[in-house]
This record gives sequence, C-alpha cells and structure tokens, in this order.
Amino acid sequence: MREITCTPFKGVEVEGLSKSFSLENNRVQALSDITITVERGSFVSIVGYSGCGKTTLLNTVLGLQEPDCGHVRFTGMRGRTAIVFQEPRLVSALTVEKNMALALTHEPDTRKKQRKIDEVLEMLGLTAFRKARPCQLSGGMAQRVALGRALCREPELLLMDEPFGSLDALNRGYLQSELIEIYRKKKITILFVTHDVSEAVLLGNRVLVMEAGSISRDIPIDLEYPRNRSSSDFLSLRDGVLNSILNSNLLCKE
Amino acid sequence: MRALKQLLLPVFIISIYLVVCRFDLVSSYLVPRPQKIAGALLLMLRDGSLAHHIAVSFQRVGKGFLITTGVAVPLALLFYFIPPISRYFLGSLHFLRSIPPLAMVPLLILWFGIGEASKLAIIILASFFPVFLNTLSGLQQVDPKLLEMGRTLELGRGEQIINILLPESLPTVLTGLRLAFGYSWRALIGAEMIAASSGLGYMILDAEELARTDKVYIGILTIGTLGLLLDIVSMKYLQWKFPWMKSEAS
Repeated sequence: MREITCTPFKGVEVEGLSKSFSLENNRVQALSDITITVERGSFVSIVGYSGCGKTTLLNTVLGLQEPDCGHVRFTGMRGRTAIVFQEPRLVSALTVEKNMALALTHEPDTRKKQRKIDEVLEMLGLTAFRKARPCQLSGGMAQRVALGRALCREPELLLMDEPFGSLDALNRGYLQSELIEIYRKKKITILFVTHDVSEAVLLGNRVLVMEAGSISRDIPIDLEYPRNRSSSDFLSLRDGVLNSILNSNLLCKE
Repeated sequence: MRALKQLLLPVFIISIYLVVCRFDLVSSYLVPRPQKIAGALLLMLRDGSLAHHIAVSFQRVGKGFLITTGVAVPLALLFYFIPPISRYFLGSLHFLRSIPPLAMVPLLILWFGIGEASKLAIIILASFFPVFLNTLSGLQQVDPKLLEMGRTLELGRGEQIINILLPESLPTVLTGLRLAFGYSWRALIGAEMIAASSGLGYMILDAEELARTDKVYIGILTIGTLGLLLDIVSMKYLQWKFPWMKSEAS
C-alpha cells in the first residue's frame, strides 16, 4: 500500500513490507518484514544474489505489486515515481522522441511537453537520434532512451532495476558517469538495484545488502563524486560490501 | 536482379505460348492467338467495358473489405481484452473458418437473395478470418513487459491501446489485412457467379457462355495483374508509412 503524508522527514519510508508468491504449490517468501527509510535526494544501491527479492522490492515500492503486509510512505513528496528496467522496453513502432513522450501523456501543454523532451534529449546526447526507431539503436543507446523516458516524468523517486546489467563494459561505464551527473544536477532520490558490488559502491551513497528477502546490512558510502575505482578508500569499501554479502551467504548456508 | 529472376517464369510461359500459337499445336479455341486477345482487349478498352467491370469489382471488394475490417478488428480486441469469450466462441469460429465461402453460396442466395448482399457476404466470409486471427495473434504477441511499462507511466486502458498495443501489433494486423485483400479478390469470381450483370467474374462467365475464350483470358489476366499491382502498391505504401516493419512485412 502506498501513502503520501507530510512530516518533517522527507523521503520514502518502507515499513514491515512482506510479499510471498506461490510457486508450484510452494510458498516463496520474496520479501520478509523489510523496513528502510530513504531520505529525499539520496542514492541508495541495493545489492544481493539473484532471487533475493531486489526486483520484488522495487515493484512493490513502485506499486506494480501489492504487498501482503506493510506499506510504502512518501513523506514531503508527491510520490511521483519512474522506473528503468533491465531491458529498455521501448515501443518499436515509435521514434525515440515519441517513446519519451509516452511519459508525458497526461501533460496537456504541448509546448511544455516538447520543451521537456528537448531538454532530456539534449542532456543525454540523443538529439540527433530523436527520429530514430528502437531497431536503429544500439543496446546502450536504447537504455539511454529508457532513462530519458523515466526522466521526462520528473520523478522524485527513480527506481532502477539492474539498468546497465546487459550492457558491455564501455557503455556501462559511460552510462554510470552520466547517471552520477544527472543525480548531482537534479538531486533525484534513486533506488538502484544491481548485482555488481563495484557499481553499487561507485554510484550509491548508501548500499543495502539484501539476503533472502530481508536487508542484512546497511553500509554508508562516504566518498565524494566522481569516485575513483582504483582508490584505496573505494577498494576497501567495495571489499567490505563484498565480504558482508559472502558472510551472510555463508551464515545462511550454515 | 531479384525482379529479373521473378520475370523468368512468366517469360518462359509466354515463350511456350508463342511457340504453341506459331506452330498451331493446340486449337485456337482452347488457346486463342495473341493478335485475337490483343484485338479484343483494345476493343474492350475503347468501349470502356473492361474499365466498367473493373470498377464494379473494385467497389464490391472494397465494400466487403471495409465491412470485414470494421467487424473483425473490434471483435479481435474484444477477444483479447475479455479472454473468457474465446472459450465460448473460438471453437465455433474455427468451425466456420474451415467452410469454403463458395459452399455457402446456396444458403446465401436463400438468405440474402441474388442482389449485392449475397456477393458482399461471400467476400466478407473469405476475408474475415485472416483479419480477425492476425489481429488477435498480433495483440497476443505484444510483450506484456511493454504493458507493464505503460502502467508505470500511469497510462489508462485506452492510452495503452493507442500507444502500445496497436502500434506493436500493427505489422501482424497489416499482414492479415493484406492476406484478406488477396482472399477477397479471389472470392470475387464466386461472388459474381451469383446472377451478376457486371464485374470481372461476370465478364469471364459471360465470355465462357459466348465461347469467347479470348475474353476469358483477358478477364483472368486482368484479375491476376490487378491483384499483383495492388499487392505491390500496398506493400510500398506500408513500407513508406511504417518503415520499422519493413523486414517483418516483406
């Protein structure tokens, strides 16, 4: 259940969120009693093994799935969200520009709509491709359009579900830098799901480690942007996150 | 090069035809000589009778095709959005699909008489299923993840149909329409067998009764040529209008 309230705290509060699915007569607990607070303007990375409930958490925060219990509360925010999925999910019949315009379907002012699209195209370096169709774009380019579509909504909370997971290393690096730039410029609250620990530490100012449907660690990342992947601070933080994932997995196995 | 390859078979058949005519290998009643066909064609072009038959046939196919599209596309949308309907009606529709439209001619005459209605009914029966089934299958093939994406953008049902479902299923729907147009054109002869007084089908049957095989040939060649031209023109139009479906449609 999603709520919008006004209190001194500004951000997203997830409280006691649980969700289970039935799979071949078995009950699978995807989320169990998750409670987190995400301050407005923060960048939170969520890491964990495949199937630990990261995507279910995002879908529930987004409202795509109803939780069994618990709720998501937006305080001091209008609750405007957008998501970038692992695959771009572009409508093949529509141009780049029109795919982005889908996010502004309810904007009655056509001039304002066009201005917003132009601004996002410019920001993501897609102006020259505005009339291109998805089949004419590379994987990285298509994912940039998906990011642009999400940004057109001017979200207060941007959810990203392994958005760079299927890209090659060069494109991934390029988009990571772009995302940091956008985050620093727009100060959007971001929940970023990834299975890449380096990426989680590179982007987030907080890393949540997920294990079997719950948050096992909450690690603050106090490093300035842009971050240097080879600095000792970065490497020690990355190793710390990696160890906590490995340890929690070992504990589970025991 | 591709066009040249496609011309090989017609050139081969015409060469055999010319050889048969040149050496009188077959009676000229069965295979009329080229000059006789050309003479009859010129006459029919000059007195406007061929143009008249073509116009009448086009009108019939056009009307039938429009009615088919108007019924089959909304019906496919209904089947898509209310899946339980399929459980009740899809079996009966597949039963009807296996009946050749011409087998329905006696019944159609009884129900609709010998006027335009029975001819339209045959064209509709011939073109309905390609449009209906292709539209339904096009809609079912749309990736559910795209609809999920639409929900995250807070698109309503109508907005999802216009912005996602219809554009995404368009290549399959258009393939169905193209097939249906071909089927309508073919069903035309059967439709015009029902006491028609004009149209290309009537022209062929009338020529047969008058033992004018040259006119029968003209009728057959006209139907084939027009069908081919329509297919090429519609294909070019679709490729121009919807460039992203170039590879799928061709």
